[in-house]
Amino acid sequence: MTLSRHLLPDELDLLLDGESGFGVQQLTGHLRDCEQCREELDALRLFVSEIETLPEMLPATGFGDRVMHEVHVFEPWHVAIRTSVAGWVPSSPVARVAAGAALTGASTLITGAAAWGWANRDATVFVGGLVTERARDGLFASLSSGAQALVGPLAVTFGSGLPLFAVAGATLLTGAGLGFLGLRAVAARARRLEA
Amino acid sequence: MPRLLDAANLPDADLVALAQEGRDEAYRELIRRYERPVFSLVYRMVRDREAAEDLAQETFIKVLNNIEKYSPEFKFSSWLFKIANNLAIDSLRRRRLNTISIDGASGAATQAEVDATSFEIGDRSENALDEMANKELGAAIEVAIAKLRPLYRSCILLRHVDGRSYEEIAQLLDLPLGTVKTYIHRARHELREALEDTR
Repeated sequence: MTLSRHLLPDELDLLLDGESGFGVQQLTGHLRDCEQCREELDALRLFVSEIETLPEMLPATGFGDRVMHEVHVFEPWHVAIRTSVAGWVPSSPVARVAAGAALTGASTLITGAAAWGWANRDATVFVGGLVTERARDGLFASLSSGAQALVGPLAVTFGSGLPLFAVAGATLLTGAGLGFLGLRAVAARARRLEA
Repeated sequence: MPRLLDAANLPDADLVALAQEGRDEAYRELIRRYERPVFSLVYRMVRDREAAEDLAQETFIKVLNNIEKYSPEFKFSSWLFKIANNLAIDSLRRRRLNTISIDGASGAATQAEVDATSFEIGDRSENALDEMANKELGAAIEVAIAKLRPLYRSCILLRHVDGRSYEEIAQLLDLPLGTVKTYIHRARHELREALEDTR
């Protein structure tokens, strides 16, 4: 069954949008028989195509730079780590293979040493203790001589040993702290002057 | 050092993922890709070049500074256009303080909807456009679009200039699908009527 009247504007819109719902078949049936409605729909299609061909407009030159000036590009920590690691990977394939071989060799050696250490735990503990003791004695001796040179008079009072080490440590820490605060003040002043 | 990107050939979703990783060139490609359509939409909404530049810039800054909040289930361009359109509508609302508003859309249910669909007259830039209107069809269409109510204008521009689907426009403007269809049909008729006079 076809319509006995011309199509209404809303009905023409339905056809223009390519709708296929209930009642549209009746409208298309009418369209086949009515030249006036066909012309009306063609005019509507032409009108829409004219809107669709409106040109794009350009913002002023440097738009992207102005936007980027206000955008805070943020690199997440996991990406930063990945990028740093990637920075250590050699670029040439040969160098990559060589680095891979060296890493494999080193890890094999470490694994072998660890396995041997575990199998010979007593010897490892003995050697480890010996090495630690020697290192501690060496470090303590060098710190003591340094501290005696730094706070000579106090060395007479406290003698050698742990008290002298504590005083020297405290003096060093105080000096470092004061130095840090001084540097911070200088940097802050420089920033203020720059601003 | 990250490898160089062939950014121009990457889809939006990949570019956004790279931007979320802090890749500067991905940000720049997204701007390059959408600066024209966003500026065109905003300019056609507010009809003021300087304001359109500011609004387009604000759109990109807002979107790119919140890129980590982007949800890939939506199209990036829909998100971008939604913000651009909202900023343009807000700007028009602020500008309405200096204009006379008559009759919101007949279907408007809330005050906000009445405001957004109100027809504006007395806007200086539109008068200037009227004066400039010539016989060229493109210019006449631009003038006719400028005279549409803001929401009709958004709908018709998104549908016929940016080629968005009805569903996308409904999502983008937070309107029911039926309302979007009605607005587009009415906007088309208003445009045709306006253009009848110039032909």
